[in-house]
Amino acid sequence: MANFVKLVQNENMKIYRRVGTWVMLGILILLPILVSTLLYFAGQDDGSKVTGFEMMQVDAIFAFMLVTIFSVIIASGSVASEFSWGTIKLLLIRPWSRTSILLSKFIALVLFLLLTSIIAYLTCFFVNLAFFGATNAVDEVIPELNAGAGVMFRELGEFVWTEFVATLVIASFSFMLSAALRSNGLAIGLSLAIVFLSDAFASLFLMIDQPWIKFVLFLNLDLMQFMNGHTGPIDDDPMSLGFAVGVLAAYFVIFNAISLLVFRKRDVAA
Amino acid sequence: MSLAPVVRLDNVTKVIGKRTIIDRVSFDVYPGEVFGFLGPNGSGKTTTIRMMVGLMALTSGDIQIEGHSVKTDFPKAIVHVGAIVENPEMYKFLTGYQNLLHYARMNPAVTKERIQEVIELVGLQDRIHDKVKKYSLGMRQRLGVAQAMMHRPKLLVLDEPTNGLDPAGIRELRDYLRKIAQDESVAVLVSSHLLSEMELMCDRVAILQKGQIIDVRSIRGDDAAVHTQADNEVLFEVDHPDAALGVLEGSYGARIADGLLSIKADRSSVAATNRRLVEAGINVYGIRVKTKTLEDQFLEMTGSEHIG
Repeated sequence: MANFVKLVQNENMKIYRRVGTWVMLGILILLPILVSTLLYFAGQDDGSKVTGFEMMQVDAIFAFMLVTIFSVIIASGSVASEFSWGTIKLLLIRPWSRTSILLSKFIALVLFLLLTSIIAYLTCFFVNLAFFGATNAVDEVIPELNAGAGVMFRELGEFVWTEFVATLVIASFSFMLSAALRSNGLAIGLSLAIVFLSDAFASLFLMIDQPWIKFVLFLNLDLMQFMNGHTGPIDDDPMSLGFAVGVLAAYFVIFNAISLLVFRKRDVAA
Repeated sequence: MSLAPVVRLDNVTKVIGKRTIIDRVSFDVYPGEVFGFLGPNGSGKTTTIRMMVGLMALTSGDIQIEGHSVKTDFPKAIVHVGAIVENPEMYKFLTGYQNLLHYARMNPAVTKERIQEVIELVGLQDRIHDKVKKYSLGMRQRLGVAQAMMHRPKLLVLDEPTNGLDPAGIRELRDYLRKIAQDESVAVLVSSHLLSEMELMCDRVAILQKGQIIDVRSIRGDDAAVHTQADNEVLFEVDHPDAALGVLEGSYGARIADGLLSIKADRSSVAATNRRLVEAGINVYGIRVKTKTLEDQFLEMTGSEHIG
């Protein structure tokens, strides 16, 4: 059997040979630059100067919202587009199991998420370093943040990897919908609804006084709320970072197991 | 046909819900033959083909390609198959070459040289680096043939290959299929509901109706037999059909059909009839045997009301 890497290469070709993908990557680089330029010239409303680290965090929130949206778009199209283009019929009649083909698609998706995360990370860091320098307001909680660019890079990295993990779970959800529903639009729509309504759902579940709510996806998606000694959204039921990552891992496994099951069994008709 | 079949269908059955779409279909296709798979729309041709290439699962029965079951040994079975299932859908945002490269990467047997070879084979060398969205339907069809032939399959499966092709394209495809069947001993399985076309293309046809094979027959080599049958309808174009009818005095079931004199006769009787007519002073302008086309036979078998 031929090299599995070539399958991933194929999936990459189908992602990066499309204009839309490059538009996404362009927006991802431009947005932090625009936001920082605006703040650089406009300044803050109280007249104080914005600092580099603050702006890195602001930009990163925007940038990772884009990373999530773009990953959802790629994930939703991955399987569904092959069906809508009709190319699935030529893709599946090759000497590869359906498991291998789905896995190659998923790996290409993870690579895309990794690429966009790194682009967002580096853009947010270097753009603001260039605009504002390694400056940070004196922070009583984390005073060592004034210690320079290296520390800022590490602190920003913390936000980046928590976003990466959460987006991986959401992208897996989109990927599952893509494989199960074979409808690109529906998969994108439902996934983005989850992303944007996540906080609303979280507060809804927080109103329920039951021990099982700590296993709800929405209460575990934002890993920052378990960092630096925080114990999560539920006041009387503290959760650890390890616990939250474990819950997310369980959802990750479930979503991808369903994708695989559906994709392997599905008859390709019409 | 003493050779081992390339593909063997053994009691293939497909049940969707409570409906039996395909009911115990069995047939073999041998190297070097063009095998037609014929049936009205909705008879199950495409479903059977999709089961052969692993796009749909079998409910029961088995399909073996070069001895490997598509159920248990799919990659080893499918590696011998090249296929176009309905229209050859390609990635429109990729060039023709990138499309071929995509499928080539999935098969260890295909080299860069082989890709070039098939591009020239289907005559796309001038346009291969254009995006597929700029291709005409005929060019897409050729690209479809190229991806199907690239890995030198032992079985070529084409589902409704002439859909959307112009007459020249159909003829080209027909000649090409016959050529590779003969020269490279490829078994070709073609499905269609266009009977006249299948008649020109195929060595054998299986006729499918409501999910069951109702007949498998050879097409080629039968012509001589047809012409010597006693009950062939023979048409005489004459100047006075009514007078001619009188001359024959009702022998050979003579009658007038569409202004022509029609009789049922074998070869020697045709000559004898002609002599009688000429001797009676009737001018004979033409004689032709009305052969039953595949279409007539097909309609006879399936009943015309079932044609979709």
